[in-house]
Amino acid sequence: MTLKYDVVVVGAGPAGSSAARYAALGGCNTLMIEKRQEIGSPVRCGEGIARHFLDDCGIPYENKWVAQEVKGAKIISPAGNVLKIDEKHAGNEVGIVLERDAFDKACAKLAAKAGSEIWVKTTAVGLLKDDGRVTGVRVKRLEEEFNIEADCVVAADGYESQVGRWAGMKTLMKAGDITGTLQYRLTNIEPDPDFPHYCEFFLGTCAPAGYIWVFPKDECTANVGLGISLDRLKNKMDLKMYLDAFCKKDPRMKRAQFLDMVTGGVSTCPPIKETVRDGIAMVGDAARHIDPITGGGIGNGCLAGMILGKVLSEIKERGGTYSKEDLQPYEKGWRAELEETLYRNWMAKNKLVTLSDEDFDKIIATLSTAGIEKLSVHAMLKVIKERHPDLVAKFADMI
Amino acid sequence: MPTELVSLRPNVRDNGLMAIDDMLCMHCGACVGTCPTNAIFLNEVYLTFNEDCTQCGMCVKVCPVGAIDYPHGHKLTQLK
Ligand SMILES: Cc1cc2nc3c(=O)[nH]c(=O)nc-3n(C[C@H](O)[C@H](O)[C@H](O)COP(=O)(O)OP(=O)(O)OC[C@H]3O[C@@H](n4cnc5c(N)ncnc54)[C@H](O)[C@@H]3O)c2cc1C
Ligand code: SF4
Ligand code: SF4
Repeated sequence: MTLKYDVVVVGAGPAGSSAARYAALGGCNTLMIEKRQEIGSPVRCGEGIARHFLDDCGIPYENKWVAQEVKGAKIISPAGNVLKIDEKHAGNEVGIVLERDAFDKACAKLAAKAGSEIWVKTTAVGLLKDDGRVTGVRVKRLEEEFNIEADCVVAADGYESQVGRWAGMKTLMKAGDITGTLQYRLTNIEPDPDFPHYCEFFLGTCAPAGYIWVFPKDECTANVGLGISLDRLKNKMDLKMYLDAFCKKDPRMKRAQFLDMVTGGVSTCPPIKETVRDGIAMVGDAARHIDPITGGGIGNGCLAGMILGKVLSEIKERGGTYSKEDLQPYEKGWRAELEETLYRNWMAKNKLVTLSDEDFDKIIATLSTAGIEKLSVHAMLKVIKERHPDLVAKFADMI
Repeated sequence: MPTELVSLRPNVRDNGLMAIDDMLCMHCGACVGTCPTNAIFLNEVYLTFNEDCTQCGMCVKVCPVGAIDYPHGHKLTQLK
């Protein structure tokens, strides 16, 4: 017996579910496989998402995956200068703090409702190829190992992304474009007037070439995590040292206790050159769709997944072959939505990592008095240019 | 009275190139996506290295909990 589908999606994260949903809606015979035994669990995420992504991707709001809605972002410099930004303009991670396990399941349910099959505890262990073209995946499901043929394989397998590499696509990154992350979910956090109404971002040497986030989950619980660029990590467990030092210093966390611990890798690289080949497309973290400044990738993954699913449907409808050419509308489609921002933010990130604590203090103080509303690289640079010509040299080529 | 450690299940495996501490690993895949030679395979709860590893050490540094080390650098190997 050979199993055969139009589309096999590897990985049931938000990007995979979104691709599976829109492919199935358009009539593709779709299967989504997930290697974990439970979709969405364990959570590997800070869980922040900007509200607009839900509308953009047609995900109906459900209370069960909302932990906390926030008013905006608080950006805190090393000396404690604070910049508050309304959630509408605060980047792709601020608005809703999710229950990511429930959110991922909700996304998978939408895919199922659209007609996609879903298997868990099923790992892709290799790609089937015929004369350079991807023709399916080899999977291990419980004790069985077998082949599944597919007209198109979707690599939505997250940061660890092996499927795309098996097809020969280049997803390797330089140390400076890789961020190691560690997060504690802490409870028994002491009250503070702004808590839990803001997602907080701490800049400076508390997290070299990265930042520390405090995303509230309820009135006494938060995801407290950090990301640090790999080229700044010198020793084993440096991440833990930095995060522990932060928690020790923050008076609110004096009596805080652990609910969980999360680790992971985040890409902060420029957009990659190629995300489709004959019979295969990459999406989400696998395609490095993460924003290089915020490290946010849930929304971008949902969006790119939707674009891909729709393109797969169109190919099915006109009886195409899912060749590299057929898949170009996806390559062009996600680039039209995301590429410019990803590239710009990668450039800006490369500048931000050169700033000192004093620079951050000055910039945050300036931005907060200037009443900047929108956390866009462009808006920030404009203010810095007006008020701090001394700092502008570092950003000259971006203005 | 001195306490005696009766049994210790070995939790560090190595293939001569790299060592993984199974009790520390969170199976997050950060090392897998980082490895420049694709030498790490993670089957959700079981991580292995293959001979493509160049011992570059990127995985050692990116691992947030310090679960990876060189076989001889590992604290438990040193105990032997
Ligand atoms: C600590 C941390 C904090 C973060 N915080 C935020 C945040 O606050 N906001 C935000 O927007 N983003 C955040 N991100 C990034 C965000 O988690 C990702 O961008 C998002 O999960 C990407 O979704 P995805 O569907 O591409 O991949 P994933 O959600 O990673 O899903 C990939 C799935 O594929 C499965 N898989 C992998 N290999 C195989 C295989 N061989 N066979 C079958 N299945 C496989 C995996 O088990 C996984 O379920 C954070 C990341 C980390 C690590
Ligand atoms: S980075 Fe560390 S914790 Fe994560 S899978 Fe690799 S060894 Fe395990
Ligand atoms: S040492 Fe380098 S090559 Fe070897 S497994 Fe780690 S990252 Fe890969």
